[in-house]
Amino acid sequence: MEEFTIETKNLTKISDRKLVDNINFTAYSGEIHAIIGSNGEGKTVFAKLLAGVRQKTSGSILINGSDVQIHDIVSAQNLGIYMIQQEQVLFPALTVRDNIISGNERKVGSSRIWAPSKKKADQICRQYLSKFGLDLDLDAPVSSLSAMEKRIVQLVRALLGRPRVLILDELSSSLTSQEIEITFRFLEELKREQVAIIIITHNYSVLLRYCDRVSIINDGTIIGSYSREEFSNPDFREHIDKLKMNFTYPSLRLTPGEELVKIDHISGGMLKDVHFSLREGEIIGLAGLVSSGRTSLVKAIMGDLKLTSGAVTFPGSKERPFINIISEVDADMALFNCQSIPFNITASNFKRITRHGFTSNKKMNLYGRHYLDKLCFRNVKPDTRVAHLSTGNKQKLIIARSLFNHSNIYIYNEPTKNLDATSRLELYNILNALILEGATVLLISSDFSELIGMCSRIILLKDGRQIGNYSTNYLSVEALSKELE
Amino acid sequence: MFKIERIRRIKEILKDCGQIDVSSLSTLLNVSDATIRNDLEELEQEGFLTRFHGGATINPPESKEHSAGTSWDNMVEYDKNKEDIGVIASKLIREREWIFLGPGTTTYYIAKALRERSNINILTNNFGVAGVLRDVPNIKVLFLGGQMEHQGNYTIPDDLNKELHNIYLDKAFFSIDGLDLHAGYTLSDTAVYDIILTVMERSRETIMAVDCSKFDQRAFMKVGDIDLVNTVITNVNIPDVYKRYFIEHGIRAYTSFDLKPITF
Repeated sequence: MEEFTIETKNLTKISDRKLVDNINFTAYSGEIHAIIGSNGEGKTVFAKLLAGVRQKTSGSILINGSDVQIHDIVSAQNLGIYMIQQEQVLFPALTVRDNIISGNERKVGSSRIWAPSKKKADQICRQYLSKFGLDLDLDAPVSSLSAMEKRIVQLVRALLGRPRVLILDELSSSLTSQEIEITFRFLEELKREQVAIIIITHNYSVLLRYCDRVSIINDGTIIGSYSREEFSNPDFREHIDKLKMNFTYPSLRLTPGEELVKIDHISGGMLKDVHFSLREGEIIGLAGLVSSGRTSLVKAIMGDLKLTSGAVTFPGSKERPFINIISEVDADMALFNCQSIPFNITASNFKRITRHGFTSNKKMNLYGRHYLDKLCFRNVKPDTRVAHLSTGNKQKLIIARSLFNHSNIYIYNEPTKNLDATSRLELYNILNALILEGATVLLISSDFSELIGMCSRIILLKDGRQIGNYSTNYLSVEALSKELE
Repeated sequence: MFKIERIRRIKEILKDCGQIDVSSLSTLLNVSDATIRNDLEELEQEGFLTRFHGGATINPPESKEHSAGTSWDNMVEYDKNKEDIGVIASKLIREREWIFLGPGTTTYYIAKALRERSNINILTNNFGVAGVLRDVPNIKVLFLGGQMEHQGNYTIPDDLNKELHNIYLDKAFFSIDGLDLHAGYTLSDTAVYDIILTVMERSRETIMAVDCSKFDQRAFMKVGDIDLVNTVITNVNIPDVYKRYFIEHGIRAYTSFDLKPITF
């Protein structure tokens, strides 16, 4: 492909407030261009304007200097602009093959009338999936895939359209470092084919390793763009230091109390002889690559997995206690998008908002306001539409919902994905507050420094087998990733 | 709703959430703001709560279990934020450590949270700290004598350097009068300045316990910039700029977070 540029001139989007404010932005073909900034500054909205998912209020988008009209996704895709959104855009009940091929039939097969043959489709799917080291069952429904695999399926679908501009919104947020490496090795390849790649990320190390150009968004507008040569520029360093990921964790190690969950040599599903317990006042980390059995383990604790041996017991409570779970599914799937924010917060326990046997809107709104305040949501009012929340705020909403239903067992799967530094600090202190109240937290994360920073012990899972249960006192990130390799 | 019922509900709500504004109460109970204000006034006279502009906060219950501490409880005005900070700070203290607790009421709350612990050594010049820990069997308290500072309820040793000569501490906790992005940590009691700087030198780690009311405040004398210490304990509702500053400068920031379920 030949070289080109994509630009925006005074691009503006106004909804209930100014979301994107006069952005002048240029991305060049054959470069990876990162857009960074805190939660809710307008990164995603800007990307959606480019990809036609949302419509601009004013301003213009230009390719090679000439004005182009983007009013919907189709017109954007006809120009070669594809976006992998943070939310899942898949048909959950359809097979992997159908999800990849749908909309791309003409690009796969040569016939204008007939759908491509199954053989041809399979071959193309396999070819693309193998680039990411995936060997999926093409007949399996997409809903059975892990979060990372779903992302890749979406990416493959976009790739079939031969994009000229590829926009990736937080692709790396739930990937482990090895998976990130595989993905970026592939993106480097695309770069050589003169594709313009725009990524939105919170991951600082990704930025410095792979990106050729970085634009910083603050308050809906771009406050600086830097090319790779300018990365040593003090001005740039200052911006980056603000977003830097080496974090000082507010770790709190309490003396563990009574045993709350006992996982007694369980096997079943992917799991083979997993054995540990969760005690009052403890944050226990769970480390493992994607498809190491993390999801199965959560299911086992919930009682959602048939065990062939062993048992999960809850000493200290007669019946099965409440377990609060934040799962790895995308915020969009975990929220009621058409309902209000207070509804979403109180959804974990409607009993608490009943009045004379009916749910009371008044009570719901009071609780809603209370939690919005408590979790320091920025720029959010109780009547803001859930679909319009920034990704960081959606994640906070899920956290608020889990806190609304008081219990003493919490399982948080990647709770800090999509959160900026300030919100992460708040979340870590929420975890501390939970254990101070005598709860136990199982923290599942692919960010090993986070696990070491916050947990007192870390359980290592590999291929369903527990390969370690270490105290974090003398553990380093390197040692941990080596163990899991 | 009858008045007696209403008052009972207000009491329940306040016990749950500690603090509430008039408008929330009036929507909850379906009566006008004026009625709520009257009720709150009555409850204030009863000694159940304290009113502030636009709302009310509950008075601390008289604790029976800590009867020995009550005499000090009466001298210190109850502050939920400081109490929360005290709990977190006490959890950072490990067995067999030597701890300095500086002047102020925040450190008094740290001492109070330490009452159930044992095998801890405390050095202090704060009468509140010494008082609340005086009958705890397994906590050793060393008190620094000196000239008594009447208002601040602490002593100023004549020659601190001499007193602390060949003494080493694990952790020192201080509170401060003001914290501002530009002015740094500031104090109004000039005598405390020397105490902080001298003790800091002797201590492996210095921790600032600063409740949210001290943020964006400036007092008379500067102790140092915000990155003077590596660990800060505070409340969650501080301005965002400070949280960002803490993160950017690698300062470990603990914030209290009130999880207690409230019932409306």
